[in-house]
Amino acid sequence: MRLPLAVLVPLLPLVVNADSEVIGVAPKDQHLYVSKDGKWSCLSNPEIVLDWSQVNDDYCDCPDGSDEPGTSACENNLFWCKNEGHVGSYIPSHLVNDGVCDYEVCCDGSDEWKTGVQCPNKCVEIHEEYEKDRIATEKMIAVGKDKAAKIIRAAQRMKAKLADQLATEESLLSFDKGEIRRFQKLIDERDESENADLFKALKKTIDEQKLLVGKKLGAFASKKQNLGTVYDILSKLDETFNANLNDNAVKQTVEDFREFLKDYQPSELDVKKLQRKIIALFSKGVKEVNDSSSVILESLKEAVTDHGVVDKHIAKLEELLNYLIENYNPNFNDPNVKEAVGSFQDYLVNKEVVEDDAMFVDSVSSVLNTIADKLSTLKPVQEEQQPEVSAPLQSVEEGSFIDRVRSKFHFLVEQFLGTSSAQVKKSGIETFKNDDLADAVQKFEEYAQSASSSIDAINSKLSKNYGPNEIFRAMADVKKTSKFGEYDYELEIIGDVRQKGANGHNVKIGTFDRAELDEKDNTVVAYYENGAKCWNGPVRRAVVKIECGDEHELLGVSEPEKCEYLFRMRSPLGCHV
Amino acid sequence: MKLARFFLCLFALFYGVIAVKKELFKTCDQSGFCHRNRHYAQEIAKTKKSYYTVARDSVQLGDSKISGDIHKVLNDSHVVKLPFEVDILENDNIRVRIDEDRSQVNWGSKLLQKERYSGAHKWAFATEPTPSKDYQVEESGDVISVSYGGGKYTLEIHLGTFQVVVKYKGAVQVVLNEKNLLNVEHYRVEEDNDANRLPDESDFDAFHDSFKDSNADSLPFGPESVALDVTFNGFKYVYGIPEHADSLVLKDTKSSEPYRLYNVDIFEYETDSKLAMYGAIPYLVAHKPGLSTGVFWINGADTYVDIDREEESSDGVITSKESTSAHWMSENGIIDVVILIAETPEQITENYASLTGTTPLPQLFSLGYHQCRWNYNDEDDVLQITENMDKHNIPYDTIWLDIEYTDSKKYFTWKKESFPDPDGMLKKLASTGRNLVTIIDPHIKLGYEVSKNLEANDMAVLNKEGKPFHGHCWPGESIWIDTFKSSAVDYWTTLFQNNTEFSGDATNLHIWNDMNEPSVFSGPETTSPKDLITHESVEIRSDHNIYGMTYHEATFEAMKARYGNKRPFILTRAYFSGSQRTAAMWTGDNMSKWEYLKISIPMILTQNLAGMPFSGADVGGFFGNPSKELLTRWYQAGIWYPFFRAHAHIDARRREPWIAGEPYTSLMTEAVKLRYSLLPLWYTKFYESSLTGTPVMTPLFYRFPDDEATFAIENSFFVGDLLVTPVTEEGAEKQTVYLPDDSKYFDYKTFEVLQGRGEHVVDAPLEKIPVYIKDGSITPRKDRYRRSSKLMKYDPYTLVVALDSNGEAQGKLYIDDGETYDYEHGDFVYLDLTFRDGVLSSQVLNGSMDVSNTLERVIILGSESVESATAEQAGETRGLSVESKENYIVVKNPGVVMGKPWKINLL
Repeated sequence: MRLPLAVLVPLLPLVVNADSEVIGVAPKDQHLYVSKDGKWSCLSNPEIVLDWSQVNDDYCDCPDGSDEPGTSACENNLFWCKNEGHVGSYIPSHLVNDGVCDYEVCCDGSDEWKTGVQCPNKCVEIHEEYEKDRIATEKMIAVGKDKAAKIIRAAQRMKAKLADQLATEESLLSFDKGEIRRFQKLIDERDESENADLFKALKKTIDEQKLLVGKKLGAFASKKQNLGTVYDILSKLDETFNANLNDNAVKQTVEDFREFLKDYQPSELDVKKLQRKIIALFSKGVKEVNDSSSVILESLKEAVTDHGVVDKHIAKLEELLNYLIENYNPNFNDPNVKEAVGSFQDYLVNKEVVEDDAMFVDSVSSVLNTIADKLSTLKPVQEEQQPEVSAPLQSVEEGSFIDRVRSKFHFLVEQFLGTSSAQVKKSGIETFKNDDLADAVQKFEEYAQSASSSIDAINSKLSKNYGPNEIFRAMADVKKTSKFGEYDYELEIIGDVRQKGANGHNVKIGTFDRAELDEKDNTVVAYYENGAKCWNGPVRRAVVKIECGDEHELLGVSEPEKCEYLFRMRSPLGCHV
Repeated sequence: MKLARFFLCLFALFYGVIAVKKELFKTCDQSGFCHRNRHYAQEIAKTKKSYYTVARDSVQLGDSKISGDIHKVLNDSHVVKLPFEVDILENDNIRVRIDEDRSQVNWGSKLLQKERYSGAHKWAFATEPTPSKDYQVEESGDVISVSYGGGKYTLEIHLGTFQVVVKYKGAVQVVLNEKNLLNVEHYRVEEDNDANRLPDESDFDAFHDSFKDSNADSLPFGPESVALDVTFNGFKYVYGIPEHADSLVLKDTKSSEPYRLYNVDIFEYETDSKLAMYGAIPYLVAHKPGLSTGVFWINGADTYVDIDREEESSDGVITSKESTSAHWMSENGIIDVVILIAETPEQITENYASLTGTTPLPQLFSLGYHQCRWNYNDEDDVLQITENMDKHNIPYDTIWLDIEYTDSKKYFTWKKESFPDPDGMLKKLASTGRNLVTIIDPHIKLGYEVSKNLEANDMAVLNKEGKPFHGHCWPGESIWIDTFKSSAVDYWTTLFQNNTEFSGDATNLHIWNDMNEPSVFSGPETTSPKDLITHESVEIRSDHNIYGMTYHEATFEAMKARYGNKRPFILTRAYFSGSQRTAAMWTGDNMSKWEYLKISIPMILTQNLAGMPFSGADVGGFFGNPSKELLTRWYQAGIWYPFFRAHAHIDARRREPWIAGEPYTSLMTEAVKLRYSLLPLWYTKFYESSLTGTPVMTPLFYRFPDDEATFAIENSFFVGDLLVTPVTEEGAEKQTVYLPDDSKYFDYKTFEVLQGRGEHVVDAPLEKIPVYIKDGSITPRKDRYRRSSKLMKYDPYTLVVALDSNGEAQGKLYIDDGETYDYEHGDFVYLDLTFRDGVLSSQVLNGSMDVSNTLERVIILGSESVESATAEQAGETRGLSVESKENYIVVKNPGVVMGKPWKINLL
């Protein structure tokens, strides 16, 4: 076939091509390849002198590979493709003479000069295509940059507006805090005016009880939540598992669950609500607490009874799931079974451990009795001595009065940033009965809470990394949806990324976290973190690589690592202005 | 508290969930026939009774065969007739068959044939064995003697108590029924069971199966097992009977389960276990210095083998017995057993291959690097993998698609959303010489064209009522193609034709047959119920272990029809004796743990000695996430598997070599490049194995059959003349290497010499694969990195010549086009390379192909330095330059063409 002339004659004609250039050498380096009396020296090792015929003889003689610029004999060498009519380029030498026309990097086909494989020069058509692409891209980038500049201006305006909102909320907060201090002081004054030491001591006891009861009921509530979780896992399994797969463990679990359901009556008690109610009762003055002690104890007993039932149910359901986890056959690969197992494993890792102790009700009860006893020793006159703080107002309207004060202040702040709380205070008349002082504190605490969270929200928006020039800030409500493969992907640019598909499949891949400029390949990269957890794996996340374009356009998605999605996108957001 | 629960949960995760579901699989005790035969063995050991005798007047001496009737004597008036035949075959093989005469049985069922199934050999044998002409028969009293093998061997058939004895040079070597465990459970109805039972027999589960998952088994014939003991006199080491995740040398089973041969989808199998696995080769080898023997038990039914090779003294010390015996037990069928005998293990393997065939020469690409994952998601993903391989200079030939590429697991369809243009994808892969392997399984989803055709044309496996069996697997409710039927094979062939929607006109598409045990999620032991019916009227109870082979043979035939002159490549999970003729195998669903890396080597060595050398294990481990170190070590070991594929489970993290980062990525890349540079050696070894059936990855005792120290070595092996001892221990910095002789062993990279028979502790940090070049050898290579094996086509060769103490070396090199059947018409060269008296020469031993690849360099190890050299070819001579280093020399650029004889003279 080829190489007819064997082989044993020195391989002279291969050094140079038809234009008398040494094959594989760029024009700027051709001068290094000149025969001196039939000899030539390695470029980095001039002490190694070769016969000129050893250049491009397909055997690697020089340590730097310089004697074989045109063959694949030396590892990691570069071969120059002239690509006349297009752009010349170096290609790795392992692409040379391997039987493949590597047109993408070597459009003139000069990489196959020894194998007999025909690679006709395609530089003209490739260059045409290349030019067309280049012009279209340039145009698109120009439009994109223009749009990007506009988006950046919008983003700056939004930032300024946020700063205003922040100032407002901060004023409100300071107003609310002032009010709280003021009312608290009134309460303190009242209690001190009575049997100060006793009240102080009782108040302390009550606060301890409040803490204890709060903790206990909180624990009950989370236990109840646990029941909800395991219950949901099982009912979902029941609805979705593939009965045809004949996994006896799964079938047994579902059967047992159905058996359980026959006698199961979900508890109606809202422990969280109960907890809030009792805490509120405990938060009032000593006497108020004493007055409501029977209500408190009744409620606690109700909670304890409920908890006993919840406890029994949860033990049963955990037992079912433990059985499933140990005995199911993963070979059947039923995704719904896997999900149930995965959810239960997560549950086991994360669940709060609740100490099962119902006795605390007795201790609360005895404390309340003690308080009642102590209060009964006080002189009854005290009731009449209780001072009125100020002139009465229609008691039904106390709440709305405070609301009015607060909203008036808010209005002033927005109108004239910097209005002091003192100016407003004068507009209200302090007309609170002793009984209502605690309510007022609570009300302003709620306001303060709300202002605080607004401030946190605004601050987090302000400090978030919205990418170069904070361009992403203006992307609220911008959403792109595209179908790739079997799924629809929905990208809220500064919200959630979701994967949606048949049968109600809808999984959160991540939420916008930050955006950064990648100078290496001139793109902007946005990161979406904390998606739904994968089976036996990490939480999902997405990386969106954005190149400059004139429209928001999702180009594709891949999953280069399990549960880590890489989107390619074109958008003005990727235009570096 | 929370922490404690966390650990508890982790514990459950690793030990509760990820472990074989043993309770799904029958133990011997739970299996009717195994239980009964073990019971029988115990009783016979006590009573020393024998019930099987040859009816003297029935014996006939025919042409290279002796036949007659064995009588199973229940009592004076109750004798069961068991016709037997002993054949003397070529290659010194002796075949013994014992059937049951059921002519008097009153059998009503039209669905099932009355006779015992005797056809396993038709599937196992490559061709019907040829009777021997070289033997002499002599009768003397109760013994018929046959001298064969040029007088070296004697066969004795003892008539009184039926026994078959094979002697070598006058000494007893193999005895059938020495322990009187021959047992043929003859036909009887349940009501008459007691009258048909010997006092030594149990009736456990004889007519009903009490195992919870298979209690619906109708057992239409009641008890019908066959069993026989084989004693190897003076043999301490026995091997073979894959597939088990166990040591190379078979273990004594007196206090454990017997080795079970029953093709099942054993999920997350355990190591050091005798449980059944995906494939079954009922062929066992015994070896001692100077002699090897084998027993080939040709039966496709559920089979257990008890091994007796150890004894315990009164003070509890366990020692090896002088002789080993194997107790074979099969659920039904006939006794059909071949005794092989030869002076070397290599010869024994060749004799086994003469019966069951060899692995035909594979396409070169299939010896390259296969990259698999459940699943590569879409076309982009597939092409990205290819791009990344190229970006990291990792040679690779083949990417694989697991079940998710299909539309709803309907084979021969594509999930169009993810693979809109399979033809285009295949062509893009082809542009750099890459191939695609897609999975096609035997379970066919109900309700589409393929299953409709199978049902309508009676080509599906049937249930006991004779209707297509419905069971569950990946697609949900499915039927199974019955590839025992030629009509089904013909239909299967049409599905792989050119220009279908499935495969277009691609020539770089190949097929992976998985789940062909068959795996049936809804079936007992995750496989088919035993009373299903295959090829017309045979219960799958009889041919279950053969089913997987008929399936991959059908695929092979289909792909051969498609490609005409191109060699198909098929990978199978289930297999039987004879599978080597049409498929490669891998060891199924292993785990990403060190012990699975370690066990893979004896498992693959066992495949090699059991005639199925084209074998591998999932590199990296299928289940779980390997540490970077484990993954690296697995690549360093996996490049020595004859079949080299990385694979991962759908829940595992991505682990292609570039993911781990440095230094791991470079080390894995280097390992893969080493595999590629040695492809000429691999291809030559596969060529030689295609002629003889001998191992490609060779156990040490094959090369040193008289050195008992090598008999149990299972962590070390030869590929060609390279002695490889992969590191399989976590954190290892050293490796113990056993040198089987006093030759010089040259370190593969540094050429430093290791010498002296015995163990050597060598450095083996993560970057080191302990590989040594045995002296006296010539190893061919192609050293240039290319993207795929196909792109190495034009590359020149390097020869590594390791001189022995006489200054000599030899090697072979096989070259052809790497993909077609043209070599069958002589289009190849098989070169004999010899170094002697300072001259390296190449002669064409066989074939004549115009091979224009040249010789790039010769590296000579153990040579004194020389000044220069000359090359001679076709009457011309040329001077060559030589580079002399401390312990080797390099002859530069000889430039001779490999297709024609040449000489290189050192001066």
